Amino acid sequence: MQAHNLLGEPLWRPSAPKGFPDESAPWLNGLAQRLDIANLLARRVGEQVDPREVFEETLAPLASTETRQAIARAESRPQALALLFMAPEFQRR
Amino acid sequence: MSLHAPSRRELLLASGTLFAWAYLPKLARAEGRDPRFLVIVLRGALDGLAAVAPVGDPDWIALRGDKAITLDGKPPALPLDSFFALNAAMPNLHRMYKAGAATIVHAAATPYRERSHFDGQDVLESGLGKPGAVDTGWLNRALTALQPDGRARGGRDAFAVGPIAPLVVRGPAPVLSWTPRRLPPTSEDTLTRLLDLYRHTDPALSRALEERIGLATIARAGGMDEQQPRAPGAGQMRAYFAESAGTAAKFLARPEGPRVGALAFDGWDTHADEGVITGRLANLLGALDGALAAIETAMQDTWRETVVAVVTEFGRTARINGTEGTDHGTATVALLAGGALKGGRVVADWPGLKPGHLHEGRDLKPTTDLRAVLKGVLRDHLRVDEATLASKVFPDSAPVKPMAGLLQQA
Repeated sequence: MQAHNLLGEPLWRPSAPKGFPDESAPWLNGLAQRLDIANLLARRVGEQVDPREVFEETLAPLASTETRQAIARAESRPQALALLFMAPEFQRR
Repeated sequence: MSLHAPSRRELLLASGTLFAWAYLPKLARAEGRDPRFLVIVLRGALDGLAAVAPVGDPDWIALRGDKAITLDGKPPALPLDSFFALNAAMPNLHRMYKAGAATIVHAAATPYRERSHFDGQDVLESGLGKPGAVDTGWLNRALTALQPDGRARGGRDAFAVGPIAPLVVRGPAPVLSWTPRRLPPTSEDTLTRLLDLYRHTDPALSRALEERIGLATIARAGGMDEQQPRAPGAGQMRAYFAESAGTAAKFLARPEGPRVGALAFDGWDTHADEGVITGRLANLLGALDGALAAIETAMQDTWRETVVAVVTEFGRTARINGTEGTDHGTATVALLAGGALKGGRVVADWPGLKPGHLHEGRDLKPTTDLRAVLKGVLRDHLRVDEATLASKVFPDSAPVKPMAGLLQQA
């Protein structure tokens, strides 16, 4: 719930009657908060998963070579997972 | 002495500091000792030559050029013996070394010889000879080899909540996890990698992130010590390292507390703008130095029964690359600190730095198996027996003999 609020889309409380805007500008503004949450989440679960497997099961079909390399070359699993959450392919779906 | 009941805060689940305390080194206790052992894993591969430089090697300056730390550098490196010198960012470790409470092992490596961080960390922490699917670490398996502590039933077992722990302490022995109140912010390194990815793939995200980094840098600069300019975030990193390590030590120092713990620090993967003398690596080493000092302070009298082992998955290339950094290498340093050590020396079978002496022509050649160092500490400090070390703790490592003479108590 708190994460929803931080993400700028509080549950059940959209800021306009027509719901959350579909255009990308407001979502881009929340990039910083999403980065902090991605980082936090990655630190909590990143030790236990293999980011290469998560990548293959989620983003792989639509991921760019750059994203694939960034994840494979991360210095630790949590960092790889944070990069995966923040990858353009993940952010823009 | 009543049991300390950890508060909810102390038990928050996360990858902070981890202890296993249902098992205690009973054999060592029978000798009238009460040993403490803390393992610090540096994730990302520490440049051992930048931390502890072979200033007496005739090929040193030629290898690193103006990135070589030297005794007449600015600031000058801290002399250890006639051959090695410590990075100036680590005055506390130098003081411990001079007091006989620190030992540096150089040109050491795990058995891993490839260049993947994930696999290298798996080998370092699992204690196995090669990467593979494992869910237990050598430190946890070493604990289970010690006798279970009769006092540890009930309340303590209930603290066995740490499903998210560095691999090195994961395993059958229950672990307690504690998390600093402030988790470290997204590291500069993660931001740099993300920005690099966005620049190549998504200009709008790239612009948004650049704005964010700009703002963050300005916000931090406001609180910076003007006399000692540091990279953005260095102060936060120092505080985080010191709080994590100091708190771990406070737990270990308690009469009824755990005796073994582990924590991990990120950020050592210095491919670009390494900043050996001033900059990123110097800041990291300074933060690590502060963490060691925080441990010493928090341990108080129990410092004399303490060993801290600082280890990393592999080293970095001997030469500087085209982006003022170093790439994944092989041998590196292991740092030992603590009053229980027979310290004040650098242990190294120095391989030399001439091109023909480098591993694959590019890395410092490993001449000491890191497992020998760790086995030496586990045997002589915690009294884990040698057969168990060679089979369960570091499987199939019988040919790698425990390094003798690391501890005051042989």
